[in-house]
Amino acid sequence: MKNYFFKITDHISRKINGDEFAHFYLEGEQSDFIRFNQNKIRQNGNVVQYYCTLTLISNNRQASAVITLSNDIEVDLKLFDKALGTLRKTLPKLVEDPYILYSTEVNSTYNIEESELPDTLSIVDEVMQKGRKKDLVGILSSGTIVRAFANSLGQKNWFEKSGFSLDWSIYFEKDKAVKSGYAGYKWKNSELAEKMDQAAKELSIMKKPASTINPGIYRVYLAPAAVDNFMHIMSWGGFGIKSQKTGNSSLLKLVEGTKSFNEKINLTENNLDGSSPLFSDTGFIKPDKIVLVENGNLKESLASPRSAKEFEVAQNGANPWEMPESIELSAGGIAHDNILKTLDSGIYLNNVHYLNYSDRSNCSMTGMSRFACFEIKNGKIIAPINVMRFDVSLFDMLGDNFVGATKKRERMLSTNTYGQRHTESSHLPGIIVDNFKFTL
Amino acid sequence: MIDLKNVRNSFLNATEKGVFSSMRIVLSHSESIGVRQDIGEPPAFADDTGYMITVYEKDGSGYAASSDLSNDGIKNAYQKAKEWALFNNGKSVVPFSGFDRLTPKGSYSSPVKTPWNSTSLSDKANYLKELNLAMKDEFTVDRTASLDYIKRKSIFLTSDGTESVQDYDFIIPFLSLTSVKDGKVQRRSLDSFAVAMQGGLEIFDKVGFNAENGQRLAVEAAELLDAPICPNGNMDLLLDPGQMVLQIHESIGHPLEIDRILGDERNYAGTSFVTKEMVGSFRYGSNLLNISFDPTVEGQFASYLFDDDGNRTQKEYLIENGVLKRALGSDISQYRSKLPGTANSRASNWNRPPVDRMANINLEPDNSTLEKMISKTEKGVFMKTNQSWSIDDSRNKFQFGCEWGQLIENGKLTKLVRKPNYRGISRNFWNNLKMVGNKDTVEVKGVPNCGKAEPNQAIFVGHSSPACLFSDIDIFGGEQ
Repeated sequence: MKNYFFKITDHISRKINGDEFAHFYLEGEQSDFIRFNQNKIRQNGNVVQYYCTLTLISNNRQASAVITLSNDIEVDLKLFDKALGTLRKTLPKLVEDPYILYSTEVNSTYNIEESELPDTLSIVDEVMQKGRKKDLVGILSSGTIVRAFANSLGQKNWFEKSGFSLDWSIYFEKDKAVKSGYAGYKWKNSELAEKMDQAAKELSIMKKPASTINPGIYRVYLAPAAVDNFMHIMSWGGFGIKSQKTGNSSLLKLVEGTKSFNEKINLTENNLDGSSPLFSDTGFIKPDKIVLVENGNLKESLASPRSAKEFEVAQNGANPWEMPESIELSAGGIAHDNILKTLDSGIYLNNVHYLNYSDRSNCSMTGMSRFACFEIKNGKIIAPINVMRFDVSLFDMLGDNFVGATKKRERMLSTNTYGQRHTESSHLPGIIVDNFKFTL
Repeated sequence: MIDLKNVRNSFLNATEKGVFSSMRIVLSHSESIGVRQDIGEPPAFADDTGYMITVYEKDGSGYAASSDLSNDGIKNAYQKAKEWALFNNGKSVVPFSGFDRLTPKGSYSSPVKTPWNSTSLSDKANYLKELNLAMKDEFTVDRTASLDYIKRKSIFLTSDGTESVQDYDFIIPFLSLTSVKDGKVQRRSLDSFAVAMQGGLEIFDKVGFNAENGQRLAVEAAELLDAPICPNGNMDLLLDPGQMVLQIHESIGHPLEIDRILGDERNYAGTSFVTKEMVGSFRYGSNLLNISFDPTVEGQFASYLFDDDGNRTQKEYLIENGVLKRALGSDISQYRSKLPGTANSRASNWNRPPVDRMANINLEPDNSTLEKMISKTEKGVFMKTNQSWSIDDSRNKFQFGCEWGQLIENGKLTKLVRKPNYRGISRNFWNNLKMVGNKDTVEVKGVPNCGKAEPNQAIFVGHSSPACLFSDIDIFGGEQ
């Protein structure tokens, strides 16, 4: 696909006039998707898709066209010629756009990561073998993901990874289950077995009679997967310069300095350690790291090229939504073996579900406990809990109520497959917080 | 444009006698334009053509999705789908040999009076600029007016030689603003993301996509900035159709999806508090609750003739006089669950396989005027426009918030309140349905981003509802 894509971009670039600039962004994949229910297959198949966005800029005007590549170069060259013609006709009809910013420094990069993946059918057989006598439900996504950029100045960037994501749960009954995941670029049967065994152990606790806790304030432990959910919602408009300048950021009080997180909270967009490409959809090379929160205070914001022009700040390779793609929360001092002891009495939340802002300007979020969540007394697991709704402000949770984070952090690859397999990742510890409010 | 004759021939040539297969081809053209803070956003066009071939072999089924429409491309896709079907045979949770596959014939078109292309891009951009300007006042710090248009053709071919063609014109108008005063922030929008229909530019009038409403939103935001926070307490709740959309969607639509009841979604979207045994007798709500599945409503966002597995649709009542009669599941789910269902096996695009989805799920009107519902309320809050939504994985415990609230005291609307929220448990909530508005209070809405399934799919759904009054609801406000 690399040569195919650059053949198209070279073809169009040769047609770009002196007062024009064009750039191209490719998002593609060849994926096998296998859905499981009751340790059987619900749906299975293969998807091959390559979407290319052509953006044309001329005389301070910009428009773009997305074309689905057909794998027939003659057909696609004609489609791109036609799209170029449409964009050329469109631009003069637009008024001038003061917020256009594109990369004029040519920075070509090629990143093709080697992988060791057995064929998907043998992975499925292995999953079903390990899932024998278990009520296993979930999805295996496997195959190659591509992101690429090119522009009419000759910049070329290629990012290609072949990997897998097995996102699964095993159920005891009704909503009593344990969730786990196994994702990466090198498949090992032994690692899957280890994770299945661990999940089975946790599921044995879920078989105990469940406890229904009363609404109120509790000390809780949030495992990395649960922390990931909070970070995801906070990333929705929280760190972007546009949301911060237009009153829409959930972290506005952090921006204004009227609130701060605990000084132990450090949040970083760690591009270098993440699993996304190091170039943006407009061709800018991302910085290795962007420090978002340092010692509890806001430090930098994510700025897309368009926002950079509008708000007169430097762009930093952010995507158009100005959401982190490789967020990292600093580790703390709680050893894995001491989590229950440090929690002492309270609630252990492995997973949370359907978080949303309940009060955006106060960075308050509501959501549900889900999967393996336990009541803890004197450092011991007492019982699984029936699902509970919570409503908490992150200014409290990561502020005065923050007790500490675990030493060990978990690296989690996104399981998001809306439209395509996503490349985001996070690197997060578990955290213990006081005064966590359950409401229903 | 594709050469459909060639594609049809290539597909039929790839098929084998005695092996049923289908080819679902989706061709889309979309345009997005917007104006933010009086500045035109760069317009974006997209042309997307691809297909999914599904092969059913004995008890197995497999699919392959591709955009390669060449003869070899279609042949390869067929072979891949067949390999998956053979692999799946004996491992599938659905024994596919147990029922006949469908061979739909017919066509559907969205009702279009004023085509999207009847006005130029510049004219549409100028109109958006006008609307954007209408939202401007001394407190607004961010204003967006935008339009998304999707023209989609979906062709369903079968190895038996049948063919159905459905042509859709979708328009998604969007108006939103943020106002700030004394450190307080208020968002106001034209029913958030719930304004969408099939049709042409004539839908602007139907959904109120005009400068007058833009101005109204700015005025309402400014008024709310001076309003107190919504009080806490158990009281009556009057919801306008814009918020009813969300309420129906989350606490009736999703829990009735048979694939959730059967456990397919347990790893992602969740399960359901509804069980198979409850269908036919469960009291879901008060006698006033009547819910229909109706993809036949002209111009509603999720109207169609056939679903993406070829099931022909018709209006069905899911809940009648408060009793659950039917769930949401197409032929595969009906076969698996032995429950009565609906034609709702739908996919977001050519690259995703169909699963049970909502289509148009509508709450039928009764006979109360809005004024009557207000007059019957001693103490309550009238809420409009969804702002926050969250519900548990069994679709039971929910918490929703709105952009706009107004107190009702002693049968009269009184002061505005900011950050109104409410929470409850689905069954209890619907059993507290006290009054249902008449047809004059009905609004037809559409939601373009209903998320579900693995691999994930965001799909178009429609909801229409009158205003509704609920008693004894836990209502509360946010922080100052």
